[in-house]
Amino acid sequence: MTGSATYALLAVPFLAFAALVAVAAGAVSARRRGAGARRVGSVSAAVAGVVLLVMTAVFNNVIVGLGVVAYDDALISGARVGLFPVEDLAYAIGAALLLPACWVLFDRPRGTRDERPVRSERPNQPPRRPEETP
Amino acid sequence: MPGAYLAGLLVSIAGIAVLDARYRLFFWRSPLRAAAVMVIGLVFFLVWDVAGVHLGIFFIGRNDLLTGVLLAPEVPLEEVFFLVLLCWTTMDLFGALRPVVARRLDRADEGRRS
Repeated sequence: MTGSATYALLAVPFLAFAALVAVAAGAVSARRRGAGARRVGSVSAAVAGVVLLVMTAVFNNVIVGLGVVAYDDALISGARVGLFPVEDLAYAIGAALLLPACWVLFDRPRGTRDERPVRSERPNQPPRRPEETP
Repeated sequence: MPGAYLAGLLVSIAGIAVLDARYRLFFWRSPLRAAAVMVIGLVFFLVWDVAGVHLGIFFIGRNDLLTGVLLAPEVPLEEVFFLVLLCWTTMDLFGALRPVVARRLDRADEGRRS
């Protein structure tokens, strides 16, 4: 095999960061809503990741085939999925690790209300009077 | 045709936006939270892109499909839209899968108990 591991190595710090955030989100989710919620989140993210990998395989073949992006053969492993370097798949993995995790971390912990319809969001308090004292 | 790639991306983004709106998956579930996730995703992947370009791993290929507008050397305007599409697709999928996975896991647990 010609080529090098440069592109693969570039993915390492990014995937490591994304994985750390994912682990943190799992811990936070379990503490706030229990182990079941963590399981739903991680399984959903994993399945989303698999679907993304398939979609990426199609999409990247198109954009590489059309010449939208090109690669330096000396800096990639040479292993390809159709037309594109296999290393490109790291983007899909990074997305599936990082983004659902951020979604979970940005959840405002207000009981278990979040996943229900928006109707129960408003607390039963009288509306605050605007600016009683300036 | 210059702009064809951008047009394709915009059509795709419109598609996932419609799915988001119809099923309340991401921006239509929690706009601010979605915006925060999107910004983090864009920054994360743009840094990755710029690092890759800087190392000389990938660059713009030979085509007449891009607008020619560059955000940085070898980073076309289109890349931002591609990353929006990637992030939004990820989160539409995640939003759509959560209730399905929750139901499946519940049913599996019940099945095991009985």
